[in-house]
Amino acid sequence: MIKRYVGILCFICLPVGCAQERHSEAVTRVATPVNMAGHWEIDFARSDNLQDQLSSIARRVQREATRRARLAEEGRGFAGSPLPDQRDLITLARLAEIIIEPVLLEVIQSDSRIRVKREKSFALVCEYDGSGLGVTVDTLGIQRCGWDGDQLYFAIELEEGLDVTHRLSRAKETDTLLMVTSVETTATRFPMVVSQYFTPYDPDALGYRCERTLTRGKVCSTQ
Amino acid sequence: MRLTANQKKSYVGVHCLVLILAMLNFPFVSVAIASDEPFRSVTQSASWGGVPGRFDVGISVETRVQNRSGTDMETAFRETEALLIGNRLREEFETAAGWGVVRLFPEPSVIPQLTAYLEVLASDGRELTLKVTARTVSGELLLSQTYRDTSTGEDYSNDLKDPFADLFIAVHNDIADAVSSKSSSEPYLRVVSSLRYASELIPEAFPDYLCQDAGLFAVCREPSDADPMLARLSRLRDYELLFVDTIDEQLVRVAEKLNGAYHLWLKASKEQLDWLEFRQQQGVSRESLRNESTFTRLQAVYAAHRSLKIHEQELFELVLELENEARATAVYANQQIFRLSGTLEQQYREWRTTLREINDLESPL
Repeated sequence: MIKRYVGILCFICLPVGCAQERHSEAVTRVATPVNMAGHWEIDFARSDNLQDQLSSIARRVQREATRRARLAEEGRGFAGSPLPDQRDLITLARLAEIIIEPVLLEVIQSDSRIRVKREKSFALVCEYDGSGLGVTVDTLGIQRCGWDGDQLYFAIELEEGLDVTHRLSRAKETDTLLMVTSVETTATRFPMVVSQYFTPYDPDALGYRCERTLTRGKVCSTQ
Repeated sequence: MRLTANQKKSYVGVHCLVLILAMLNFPFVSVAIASDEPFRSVTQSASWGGVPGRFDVGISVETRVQNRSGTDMETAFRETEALLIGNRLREEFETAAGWGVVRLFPEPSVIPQLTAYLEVLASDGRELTLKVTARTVSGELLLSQTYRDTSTGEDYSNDLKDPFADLFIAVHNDIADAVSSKSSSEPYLRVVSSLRYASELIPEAFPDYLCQDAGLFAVCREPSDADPMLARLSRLRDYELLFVDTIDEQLVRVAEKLNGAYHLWLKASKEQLDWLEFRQQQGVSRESLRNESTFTRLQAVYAAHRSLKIHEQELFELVLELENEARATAVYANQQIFRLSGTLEQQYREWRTTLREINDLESPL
């Protein structure tokens, strides 16, 4: 995977500079929560391919680099932020690969709390009372969450300038859950954005169900 | 919950059974402590001391740990953690033997001769800080001390070994020493307890029997053993203890369910804090991100965050499950079921109100 990233990016030559301030996404729409409860599995056919997304960013960065070079030739300096280099983008892609790894979701929802349990990762948990974004602070970072209209929004700011956002929305017509994940670092203000589509599935259809917990390990039971 | 006149007779010679299906709503994290607070740092060499006498002991716990996330889940976790910590101290008293009955009360009670009130000031796996206030039922202050214990990696080397065992042993020993140095006898404090219980539940019962001066209670007159009011109060007190003991049984089961996950969370939390401290000591800065190890650093940050969350969430889920299981308590007394609901403290107050109503119905006045 990494070699492919290098292949895509080898033509990009970019300046390196200091990091910008962290980006924060505005949530302005009135909360109109929708029901997302249930079990969901990823639809690979409709979901983004990480390599395609990386190529897309690479093209954007290249266009921006070209634009800046032209401005410089015309004697018009450019005071914008530095563009990410090849190594930055590869790092971003590798991180995104880890973050979007979960392919099964279980959403548990009540009037005041929603938990998006993700296989092999931590759950995205949000408590809401309609008064705005909920803020959770822990030793490694800050999470902001809430309903932005009918979309569920999570923004996680971690140490070292790593920002991850998730937006979940449900399409009624096709009974699909869309999760858009954005990964950004202070070195690359070009976020890696990946869309993943999930469709409902019945965990009991196999006739057994397995659950993995830290204290009990993997426990399977028949229905 | 109102008692009818028809139920009045039935409370005479009542046989109680308490069936409690429910409860538990508890809390969880850290609070800044005043710099002039007299800490006692606990060493690793604490060992059990002697026990002065067969005092009944009541332990009550509250958490003062800051809810940093502001979520209900964290509140519930911290409240649960406080009960686990109270239960740990209770285990030390029971291990030491020589004490009377050791109970965990939802809030400080005048029933036991000795009360230990714990305030959890900090708990993050690396440090546990408790403020401990111990008093006799006569109001005499035995101990007011803040204890802080820090864990090491070795403390987590054995599965489920309590990394803060030394703190609980030290608290127990200090209380035992303080009790030994005081002159109040167990029978005398038992009388004080009866009169204080009477004055709390039925203030008009023995108005002149108990004297109070500067927060200290003393027996001025002792009621006759044959006093029917005393017998009734004794029975009501037994009802109250029945409630407390039933809740206690529930708590033991909760502790059994949670201990594994709680221990893992403590361990994970300590590892996170140690890791962060290590990074700070190494002088990691934003400038240093732009080198070949950038991915390694960022990946480590995400992995650490994920690990902490996974441990935390398993614990939270357990707490939520227990909350859902135990929201109401049914108390069966004299062919009547009383349903109690709300938090443990609310149920306790509700039950005490019921006891007053029972007394009103039985009172000849």
